[in-house]
Amino acid sequence: MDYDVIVVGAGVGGLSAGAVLAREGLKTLVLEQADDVGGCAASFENSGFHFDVGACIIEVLKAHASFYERLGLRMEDYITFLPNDPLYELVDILSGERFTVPASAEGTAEIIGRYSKVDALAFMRFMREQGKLMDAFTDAVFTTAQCSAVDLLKVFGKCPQAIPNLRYLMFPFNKVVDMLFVHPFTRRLVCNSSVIGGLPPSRQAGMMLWQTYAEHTGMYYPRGGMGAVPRAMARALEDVGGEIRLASRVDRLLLEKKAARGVLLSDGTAITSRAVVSNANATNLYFKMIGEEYIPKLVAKGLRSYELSPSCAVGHLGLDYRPPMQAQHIMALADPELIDLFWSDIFGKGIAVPQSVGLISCPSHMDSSLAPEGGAALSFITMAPRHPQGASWSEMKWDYLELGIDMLDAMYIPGIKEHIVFKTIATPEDFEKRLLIPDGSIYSYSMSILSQMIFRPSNRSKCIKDLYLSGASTHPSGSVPGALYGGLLAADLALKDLNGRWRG
Amino acid sequence: MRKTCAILLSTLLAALGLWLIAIGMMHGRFSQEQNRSIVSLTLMGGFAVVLVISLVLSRLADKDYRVLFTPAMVLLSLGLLLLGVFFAFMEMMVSADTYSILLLVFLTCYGLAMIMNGVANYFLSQRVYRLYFFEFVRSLPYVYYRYRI
Repeated sequence: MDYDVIVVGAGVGGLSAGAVLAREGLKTLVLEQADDVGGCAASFENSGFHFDVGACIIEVLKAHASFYERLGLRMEDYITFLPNDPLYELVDILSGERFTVPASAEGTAEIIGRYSKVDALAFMRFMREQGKLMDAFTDAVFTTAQCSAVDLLKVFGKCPQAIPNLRYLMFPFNKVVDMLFVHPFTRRLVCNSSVIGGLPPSRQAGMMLWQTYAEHTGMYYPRGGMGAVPRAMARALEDVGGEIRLASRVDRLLLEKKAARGVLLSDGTAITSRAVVSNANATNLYFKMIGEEYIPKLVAKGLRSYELSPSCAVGHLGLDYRPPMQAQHIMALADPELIDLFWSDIFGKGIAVPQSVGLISCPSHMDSSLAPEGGAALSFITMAPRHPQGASWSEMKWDYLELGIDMLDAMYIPGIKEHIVFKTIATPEDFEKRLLIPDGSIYSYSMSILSQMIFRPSNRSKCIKDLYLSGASTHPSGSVPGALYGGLLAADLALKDLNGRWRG
Repeated sequence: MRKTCAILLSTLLAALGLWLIAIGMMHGRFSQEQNRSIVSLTLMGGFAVVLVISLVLSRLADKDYRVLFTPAMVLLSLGLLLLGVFFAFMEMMVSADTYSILLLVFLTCYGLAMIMNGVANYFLSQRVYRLYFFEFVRSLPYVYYRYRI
């Protein structure tokens, strides 16, 4: 065998899995089809402006800390995280009113208190009780691999206090919000947590309100842009003895008696290994890299049953000035009912409208080195259907970008149009082609309750031996901390199986 | 559908369900011929009341809920009618003991079903629960396949 373990994909999940395996003394190779590491968490540079491909916020810093700790390294030697304070600027899409949300829970409660004293108290109670509980539960979810129903029970074993509070898991997001808060402003304020989770409030599990809690425990941006995160992880991986090969696209998995025994690259090179960790999307892995003929029919049926999370179009603008932003991020503030309506009547029907600007990120607001002197790099993320009505993305992308810029100018940053010196857009089609994710859905499968945990593709494949899964399409789910923990879980399972076998 | 309407209908269904269970439980008493008319009266009356009220309320229900609500309520009321006819025949055809056992089994089960229907109506008539529930139900047939991946 050429290697002990081959990791397919140098996204955050693949890098965390590869680094842990290399640290444990396994000869590990990480293969990446692109020219840079990171996948959805990568950055790119154009005309002196540095933009983030997809992810643009770091939450759950302990995920990164535990990664470096597992490797016996100091996080500070590899990366610096700059704290976001204020967290974001909110713009009410109906009234145009603006609010700045501070990092401290007390500060946010004070803003809520301007509208409702009762809700301000409820918010602080939420942060002390329900939010803390949700955090403990999420922690248990993140750190428990999901391969069987027993693993699901283990989550509740780690966090037994969640059992009497199952209503937060079983009830929809907007109902949980209604249980906790009364004023429309507070409902709108916390509803962004639902959209960040990739579902509208009526279809999202109430547990996602955890996002509001997590934000107030710390939101960060890495110095050097989001791409600094995977680059630092890659450096750590190499420091513990792992190897990374860029521009090496894996076409097929090599199988021997239904066990993964290496990969076949697109240039025809075969590399053998004792086990494979795949950070690729599970649908691509099973249907393209393995082949439907090698997997049971019910597995194929299960993979086809998933609804994908929404796809996005991201506009990137290089500016010759620093826009007057109070925070790195500007978010739209809308009623949960309005978000639901948009989801069902516009996005759900394949209508592409740049009015769906949900998040504006200005990386150079945090780190001025990400743009030329006096300028700024700014990206805006819109929800965009993969197959829009009427025209293809290649036909309409530039018009869409212009409409998006008009929207920015009219609603969020007046006057920005006059300062654009560079512009480009990444459509769902581009995400699909460049990152090899079906329909360009950066969160992969939907985050609905029956697509989570044991109902998401298992971290240890149940039909191909010695194959382990990490990344957005497996447990714990999409997002940077989700992918990072997924890699750690896959690595732990691989270590347990491989070490056990070798000892035997 | 307004929450007050949903509460009224759910209360009616639950009350009718409880009454059916009560009749079923008191099977010994209703196996006496003179009390059997209460059974038929309850079932036939229940059919008419549930059908009329649900047809009226279905006009007030949201469009997506009406698709589920109207057929479900029509079926539920038809079930009462069928039970009424069934027990009217059984009255003539079976012994008092058999009649009482049939009452116990059928009416208790149908009463429970009506109570559950009332509870389901309360939640599903509210959009906030309905969309989440529909999403859940849509994925339900696939959970086993997903579990096997």
